[in-house]
Amino acid sequence: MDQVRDVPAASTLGAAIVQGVVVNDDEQRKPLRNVTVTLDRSGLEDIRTVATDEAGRYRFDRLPAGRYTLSFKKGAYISMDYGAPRAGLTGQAITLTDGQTFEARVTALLHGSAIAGRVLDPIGNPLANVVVKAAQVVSAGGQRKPRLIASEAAYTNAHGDYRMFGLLPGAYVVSAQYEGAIPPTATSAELQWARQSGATPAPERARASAYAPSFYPGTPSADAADFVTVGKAEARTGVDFTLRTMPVARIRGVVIGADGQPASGVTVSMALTHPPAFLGYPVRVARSLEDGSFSWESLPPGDYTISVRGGPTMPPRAPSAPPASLQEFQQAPFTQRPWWGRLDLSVAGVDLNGLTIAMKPGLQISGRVVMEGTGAPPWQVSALRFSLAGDDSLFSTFSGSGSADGSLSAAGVAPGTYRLTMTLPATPDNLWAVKSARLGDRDLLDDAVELSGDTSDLVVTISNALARVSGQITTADGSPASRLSVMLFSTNPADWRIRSRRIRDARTSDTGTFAIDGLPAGEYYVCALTEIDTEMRFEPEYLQQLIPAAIKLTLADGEKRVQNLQIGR
Amino acid sequence: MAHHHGKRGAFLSAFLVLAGVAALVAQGRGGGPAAAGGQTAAPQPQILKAGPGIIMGRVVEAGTSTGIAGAIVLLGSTGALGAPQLTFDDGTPSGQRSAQTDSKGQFMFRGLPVGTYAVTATATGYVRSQYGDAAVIQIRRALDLNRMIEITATDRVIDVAIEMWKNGGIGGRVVDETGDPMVGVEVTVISRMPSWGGPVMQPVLSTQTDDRGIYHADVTPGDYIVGVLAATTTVPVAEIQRFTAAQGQGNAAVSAFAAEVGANGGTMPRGVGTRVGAFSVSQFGGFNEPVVPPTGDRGAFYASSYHPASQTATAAAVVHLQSGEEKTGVDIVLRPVRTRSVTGRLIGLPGPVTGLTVFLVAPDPSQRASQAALIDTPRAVADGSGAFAFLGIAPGAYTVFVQKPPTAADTRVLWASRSIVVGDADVMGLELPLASGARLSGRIQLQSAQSAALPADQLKAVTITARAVPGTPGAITSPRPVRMDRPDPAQFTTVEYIPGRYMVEIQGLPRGWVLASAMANGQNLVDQAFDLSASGLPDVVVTLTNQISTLTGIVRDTRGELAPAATVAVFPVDRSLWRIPGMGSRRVQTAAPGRDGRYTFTGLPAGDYLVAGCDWPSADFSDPGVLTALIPSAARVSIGDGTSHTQDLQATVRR
Repeated sequence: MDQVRDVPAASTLGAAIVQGVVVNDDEQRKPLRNVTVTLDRSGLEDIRTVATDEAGRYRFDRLPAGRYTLSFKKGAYISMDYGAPRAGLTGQAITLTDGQTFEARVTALLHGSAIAGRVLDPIGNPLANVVVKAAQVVSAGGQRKPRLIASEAAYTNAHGDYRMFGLLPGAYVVSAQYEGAIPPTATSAELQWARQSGATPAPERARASAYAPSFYPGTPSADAADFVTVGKAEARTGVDFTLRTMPVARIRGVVIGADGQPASGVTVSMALTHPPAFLGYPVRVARSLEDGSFSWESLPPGDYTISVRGGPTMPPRAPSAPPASLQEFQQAPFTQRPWWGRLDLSVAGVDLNGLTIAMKPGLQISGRVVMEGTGAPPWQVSALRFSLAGDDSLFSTFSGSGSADGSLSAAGVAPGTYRLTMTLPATPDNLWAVKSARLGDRDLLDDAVELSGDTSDLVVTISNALARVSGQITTADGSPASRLSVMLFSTNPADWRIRSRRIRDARTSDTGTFAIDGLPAGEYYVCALTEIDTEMRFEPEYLQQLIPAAIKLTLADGEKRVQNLQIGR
Repeated sequence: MAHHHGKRGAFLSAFLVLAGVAALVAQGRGGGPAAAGGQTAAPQPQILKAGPGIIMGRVVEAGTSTGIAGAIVLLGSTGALGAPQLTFDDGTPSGQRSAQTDSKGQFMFRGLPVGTYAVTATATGYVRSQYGDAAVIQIRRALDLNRMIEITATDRVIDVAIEMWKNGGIGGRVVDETGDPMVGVEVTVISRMPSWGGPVMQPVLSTQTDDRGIYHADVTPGDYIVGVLAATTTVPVAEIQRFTAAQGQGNAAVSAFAAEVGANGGTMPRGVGTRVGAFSVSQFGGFNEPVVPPTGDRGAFYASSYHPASQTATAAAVVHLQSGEEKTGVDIVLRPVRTRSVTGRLIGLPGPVTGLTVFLVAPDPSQRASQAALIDTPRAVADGSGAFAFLGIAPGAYTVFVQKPPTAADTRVLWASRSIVVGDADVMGLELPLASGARLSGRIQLQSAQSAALPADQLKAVTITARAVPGTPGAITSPRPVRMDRPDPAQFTTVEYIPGRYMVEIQGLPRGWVLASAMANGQNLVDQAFDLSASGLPDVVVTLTNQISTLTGIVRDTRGELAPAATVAVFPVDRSLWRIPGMGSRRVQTAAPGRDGRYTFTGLPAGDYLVAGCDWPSADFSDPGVLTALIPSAARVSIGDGTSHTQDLQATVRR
């Protein structure tokens, strides 16, 4: 009996059809069965899923007109979106008209590659629960630059074995790391002493240790690692590790408030600053006890920064409350932590006791908001939040906010060098943007500015009349080039840094048009690309490569520039 | 890949929460060192002065003298010594001492204050082992003892040996009906452990297949069944949208939503699955996207499959795993099953109920596998009007079951249970009228030699709940016990329960008081299961007593020497009190003699008992067969409320 089951909601029924075939991306192009094909209608929560048959065929019927995306997934293969140039890149939408039968192009899925091996401890026993990660090596401008692909991580099992699969072909840096400390092993002197019933003076205690992170083929430094290269659908086995131990240390200290009293209940955070945290050392967060004390166990050797924020208005946390998370810590209302303290230290396997962190009152940074352009934004200045981010460490970010009277302030800022970032509340036309954040003749949006004393001279200008670049991209024969990317970036390499407001991109529409709004005045390069490597977008080497194919343009304040581009071939 | 894994993770955790499974249970013997848990850490650690005590020893492979290098040895303690806020004067928290063994398996703890300690060893590839565990036993059982090490002022260096058994391995391949490997599929290993005389099935571990379809699980020796569990969960899209709307309103709205779902023992409509019409379907076992045939709307899903080729846990082959044994070829073939849908409506809901979940429970002849069965039980979230739909249901016989559990605010239960057979056609238009439950009520009386009274707040802290006997409707889902506030502390009324077989459980007894009995109609409800009828059970008399019995004595071996390594078992003369199927008995207990050979049981309920000492390392004292074997060597004692009885014993040797 052939019953209709799982009938979609009536409103989504139509007469259009999408059908196609999925094959293996190898020489034989064999059909792939049991590929999960998902059809998603953008804007509506209406997803349908089918599996391909023996001939690799799939078919969706009874579809209403609309714009759809299609994605493909199968076990050890690398998932793809329909129409993507390769895995990991954005696919192509399918626009269906009423009753249309859409024959999709053949989709070829690449069988993922695998890296497998075994992790042993120094005496040759298998080590379970070791995290093994593969970071794909992306070469740009001739420089090697390992890039961690977070999904490619595996844990070792009780035999010490791991296997990562679904990898793109290419070169990888493979690392192994065991979190957690190794308890002390009694020395022979201690055992001897214990057998004599502890009669003689006690020998020194054995110490705890930890396993040092290791990069294949067994170096502590990512820079010295060998590349593990896998070909298409290749399984590379024998990528083995023997982890070495390293001494760990305990640190203890006390936080003294700006009033000279032990500061209890303040959030104490610590991050490793060296060696570079390729593997992602966790930030440790603790809370000082009633006597202002804090401690951490099992610290591997390295350079650390301890940061403390808090103060007399910090509400006491319940004793049973967990320590504040880093996020909570960074987002805490500013007025509640007007004191700051910081300590940089090196740990090298020796316990450090008696550290003292003296907190100081932070700086008061204030000023006002100036509006430019036409009309008024649909939000109040009191809704504005901004942050001052220091260049030197994870912990030197301070936040501030606007007030109803148009003023801005941030309190408790540690002296240092900062840039300012402000994200405006979203508006329908999205034309409001921050134009500048001036302190004297310096703009904190572009330059890192040293703050060493209180100031009330900050002027943040917000405008809806900033410069705009728009245009159309055409191919050599004059037809519109859709689904291209446009990259626009400052000609000044000093602006080439992560999340720079002077590095922007856009996608072209079906008619090849694009627009980039909210640009500060200045000199820019603009170029068209088939795809933008989002990971590399802010990297100087990447931008340098784009310059030869780019057009230079100079934007005046508020200029609306039309810049059409033609692409070759 | 990341996307895929992330989604499954979310689903797995949601599943476990609603299944009431605390977690896929950790492998191994017992719960580790007897360190005091659950205490809230005080902000100020107390420094505990180090003492002269030393515990040293070796960790060896069971049955050999081969040391295990690199094992982690944990030192636990009880009382003040075990409290986590205490710190030895070397800075080590007292509850968290650990050491790693050297190349010969040797370890040492020093600076220990006088007290009692538990020593536990863990090592990769070995069964967790505690000092005092019988070496012939590879996995702890219900009544195995935690033996402690005493450090005294005079006896301060203790040399111990801890024997460890190797784990075994189970591995195989998961393939589809054509022999293609199934990749990234969750394989669940379910242990089949004897406890209180019957097998208890419990999921212990799940692991994913790799790109070759291969999985491997490292587990303790024992009996297992292995399967890919693929039951569907069907959630109305409208419920997902309600949840999404709550998320849009911030954390408070999400918390309120989650609290309501939790109170209903329900399922969070997270929308992790695939939309099929007005529903979102997901499958346990690694298929977020149910596998449907090429042309969409009708057809098949991969159904649950156990090694070698069964679709139910009870029909699965048992894999018997020895210590150190590597079982390969434990393969699983997944076959698409042409599935049906089951739709219906709950009649009589008081109003919209968030997350209320309907279960499609397969028949389970063992009646002991409720947790394992639920993990493989299709579920459907009812919408606000009580309508529900199960998609992807394999043909077969099922019980449709739903329960809106009682809460503190509404102590009624609403439930329905109905048998159905899913055949060739969809089952549509089921109407499930919800029924209410029944309560127990009665009074608490005190039995006291000195006519001692209890303050009202202490009496109020005593909680009286009923626990359903496995295999009855009340045991299908295990709703959280709800405590009822009692205006008159000496009177009680419980929340409603689904009519069926129950035993009474009493908790929160004040210090110095024990439970004597909970009587109704001449039956003691804490010792024997009773039928709770739809009209309820009034006039239950719960008797607490401060007359606490003791049974003590010295255990010697056959040569007359003190026998501190022996085990003393006490059990009722009346066999019907040995156990309720699926539940333990408070009247069957074991004790370890101290180094002076003295054993003690305190607070045994009044009655006639047999007590025996034995040196029988392999015995599982929750097994009626073991108790029967002890009868000839046991002494008969009569325990009354508050009586003290001394009975010296001679330990018999059995192997």
